[in-house]
Amino acid sequence: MDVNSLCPWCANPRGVSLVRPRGRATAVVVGLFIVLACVGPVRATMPSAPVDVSLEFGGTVAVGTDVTVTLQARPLVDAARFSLSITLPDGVELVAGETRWEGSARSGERRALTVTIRPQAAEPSVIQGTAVLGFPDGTTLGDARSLALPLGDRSKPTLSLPPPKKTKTGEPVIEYRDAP
Amino acid sequence: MNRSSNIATPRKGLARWAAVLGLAGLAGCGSTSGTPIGDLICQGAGVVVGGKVTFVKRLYSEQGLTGEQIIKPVRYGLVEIVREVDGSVLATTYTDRNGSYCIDVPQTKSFPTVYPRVASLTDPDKFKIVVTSDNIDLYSRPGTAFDASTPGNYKRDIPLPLFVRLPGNVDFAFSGAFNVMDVLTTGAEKAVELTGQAPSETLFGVWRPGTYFGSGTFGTYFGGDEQTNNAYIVLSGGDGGGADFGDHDEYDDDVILHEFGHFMVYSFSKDVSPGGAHYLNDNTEDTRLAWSEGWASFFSGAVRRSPVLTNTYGGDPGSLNREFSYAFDIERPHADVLTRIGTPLEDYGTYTTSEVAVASVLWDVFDGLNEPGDASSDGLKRVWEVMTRIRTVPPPTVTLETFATYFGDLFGLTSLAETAKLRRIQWFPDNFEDGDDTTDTAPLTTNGEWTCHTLYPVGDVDYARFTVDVPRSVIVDTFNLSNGADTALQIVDANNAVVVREDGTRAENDDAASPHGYEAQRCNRFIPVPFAYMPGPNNGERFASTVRFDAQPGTYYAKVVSSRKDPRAGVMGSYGLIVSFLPPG
Repeated sequence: MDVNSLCPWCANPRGVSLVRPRGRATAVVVGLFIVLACVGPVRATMPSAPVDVSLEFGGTVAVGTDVTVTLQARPLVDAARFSLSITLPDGVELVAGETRWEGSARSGERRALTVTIRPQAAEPSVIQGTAVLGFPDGTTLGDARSLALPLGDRSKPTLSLPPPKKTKTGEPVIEYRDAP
Repeated sequence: MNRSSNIATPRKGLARWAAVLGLAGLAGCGSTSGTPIGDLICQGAGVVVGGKVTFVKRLYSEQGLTGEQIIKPVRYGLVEIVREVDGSVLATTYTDRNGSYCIDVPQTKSFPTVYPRVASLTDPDKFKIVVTSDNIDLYSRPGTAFDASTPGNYKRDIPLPLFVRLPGNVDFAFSGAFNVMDVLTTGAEKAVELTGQAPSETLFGVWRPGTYFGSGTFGTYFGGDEQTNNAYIVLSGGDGGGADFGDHDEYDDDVILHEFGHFMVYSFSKDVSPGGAHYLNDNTEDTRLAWSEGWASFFSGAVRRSPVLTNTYGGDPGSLNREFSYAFDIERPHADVLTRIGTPLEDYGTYTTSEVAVASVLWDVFDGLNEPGDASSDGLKRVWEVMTRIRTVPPPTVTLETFATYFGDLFGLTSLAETAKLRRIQWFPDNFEDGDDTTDTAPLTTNGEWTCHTLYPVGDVDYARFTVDVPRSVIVDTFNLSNGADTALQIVDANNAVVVREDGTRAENDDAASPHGYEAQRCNRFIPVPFAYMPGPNNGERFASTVRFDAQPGTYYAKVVSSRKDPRAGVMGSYGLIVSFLPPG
């Protein structure tokens, strides 16, 4: 497999070949970033559940401000039961809408569930959206998505990890230590 | 340093001597999957440090993570002795297969405080496996520091915790990185067993757990790059809600080995799959994709000697959405033995265009026809012999048909074809092959009658004879295509010449603009393709053919061959044929 077959639509499909490594670590890092950026749609993945699910905010999230959350799901098979649900964490008020819908599923038919919420506190929390297909034999199948509320201490938008060190052969390495 | 067989040797600058004691305790842990036992003590004249490095493995069943945990050794992992003051590395070694290490440390008088550190990189003399975050940083964990200015024997085990609590009370699912490394190592060991050598590529396992900050890797997939000689298995870290939110795969050995199966083919055989999303109950897949994914699932099962593949979701029992975990059985794809698939794999795990069918056929080669649970290592070697031949004698494409052709060359096709019937794969001549040419003995069909055919073997040409009594329009269709069939249809006369219409066009067609629709319960298609999968290339209609022409009285022949123009289809396959006479005038 070459770069072209990995990523035929990249602006510079031969990007990797343009990398002129100055050192082993640099070459590996740059090469990997390029491939990861390109590899998406032609990658060899694991099989999925036959339902596409997305969960999105409809605007800016802020404490005391209303914002919509929409769960969308598209089943890829027919099913007798199809349910969508949005689970709100503590500290998030439901302003409008229903957090659950249930009906039947027709293959390819997109369903959406939208609620309006109002965060009450400036702290990290997570909204969950699930889509579940139910079958006559009692089996269920589904998928879920999470949305982190980008609230709270602004010093915590990223993980607090120490800067990387180097191994003897130059690979960047992060030492994971417990916080004091 | 003296060295015992299961203790790693330091790589550089080791003039001192050390003996290894406690081997009796280690003798019982020769298995690479066992929990290290016994007590390792390194001894030497200078500064000697050693110990065991372990990680926490979470166990799972077909229902998901079980809540059980075991301690496993970090095999062949990089251990460095680091000076605390500046982070410089004073000595390097690797753990052995029991997770033990033993190393001389240069005696250091200035800034003598040092600590051992294990990192997620394997001994390159064995396997070139590197596990990193999406920022390409190795994972590492320091052990307890000691004073390297004083000669002595220091025991420094490094037990990697399940979670590391980072600042902000974030529990970082640390041990998962080392489970990824361990499972990739198992895959690499199988590669050595099958091929006699480790893969030449450096294999990156890229994984980062989901956190409240949305920093986890998303999606699980394999990719490779021949120009850098690197390959990548990216594993989902969940969906950003936390360490146990969503579909995180760091403990899904079945999934990791599925991706390693792709790597095996990439490194030692040939794969031409276009990749992309795929579904277990989709039997309309591109033949190349179905082969690639089916092979990967088979390989995962073969390494673990289990036909059941599980993908966990969420965390331990009681966690949110854990019920989305699923498992499927490739030995006998059937709803009764599945958990939470919700799709009738017995019906849909069929044809060469189904990854489940591909995995099932390969499993039966591995396991022996109708011998559930009786795994045979000879079976995998036989399968791998075919895979190797695909590398040395490269075919233009690689599908289950390719495998069957090569398998037939090496071992004969009879048993494989018999096994394949279980998945509605028809590698046998149809009932109309006798006199299958433009003679009076060619199979006869009449108005409205449908017949079922196979394009087998490769290059098969099918003829169906029909007679027109009065001038009238005639429509000939192929329909209900399966097993990657891509028909090319011509209407020919007794001299095998294509009929030419009055407007000068030839009475022939490859892919019909308006193909004949699905016919229930006919010609190897007994259930319709679900609507959502109709865009699939091998949906039974896309590669079907239709010819309409105004016929004068006489005898005609519908001649069908494999088109072989679209790489998504196969070169053989099954189809139905129907001739329809329109009313005269």
